[in-house]
Amino acid sequence: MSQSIFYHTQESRKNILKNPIRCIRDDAWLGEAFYFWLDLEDAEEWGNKSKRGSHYYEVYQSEIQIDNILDTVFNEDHYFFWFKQIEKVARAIMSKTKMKPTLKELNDYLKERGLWNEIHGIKFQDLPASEERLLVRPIEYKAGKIRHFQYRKRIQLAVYNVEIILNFEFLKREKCI
Amino acid sequence: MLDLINLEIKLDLALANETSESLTEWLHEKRLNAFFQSLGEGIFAPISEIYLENVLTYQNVVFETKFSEVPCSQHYQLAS
Repeated sequence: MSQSIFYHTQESRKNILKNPIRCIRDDAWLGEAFYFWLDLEDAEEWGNKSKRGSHYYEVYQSEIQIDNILDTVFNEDHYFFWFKQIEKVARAIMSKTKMKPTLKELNDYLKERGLWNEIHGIKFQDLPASEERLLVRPIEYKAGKIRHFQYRKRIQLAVYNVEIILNFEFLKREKCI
Repeated sequence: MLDLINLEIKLDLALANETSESLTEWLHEKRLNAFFQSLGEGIFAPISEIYLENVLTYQNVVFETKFSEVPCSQHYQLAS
């Protein structure tokens, strides 16, 4: 069994969490899941930006079994498989309903139809919006426009099967800045 | 180790069995649920004793009518 460390960010509450909280937000990229960050700095940034309700955020760390994770970030086969299937489902939905599905609806379709129960989680990425942490000087155009080169991936893991989350423990509590 | 070929076969079979009706119904239900979720869950909040007494002792109206005229915001709070 292969395991990796990931980080889970939450608003600071009265009691320390014993388990991660499942995200049920409609705008959650990969549907209802337990969301983790690969990079501690991203976990902290998420706390500062999106977990400000009590003015403090908490970061938890956990070992996660990654054997049955669809790794769309580092595994080329997984990425092309995922990309192809997502577009396949999207095309089917669009051609039969004349409506464009959201990414969450696509993932919900796969999950609710019980098609991919073997997949215990999906690792995916976007590019961080903040430019402060980029160590590369941006490209400056003559007209004054500046373009930042986002060379760093912001990587998340959406876990569907809670049983692969091991040794979930409190790491730190910080005041939001 | 994930069996990607098997996963793709399962998906292809499922999509082949879908009709316009089945997918449209699924999507509509999904969006309807998302809409209600966006409203939050209704939770009964305590109301003041004075307000309650006024409602209960008001003689000239039917209780249900008076109660229903109270804005929802006084009874519910959004939770998410």
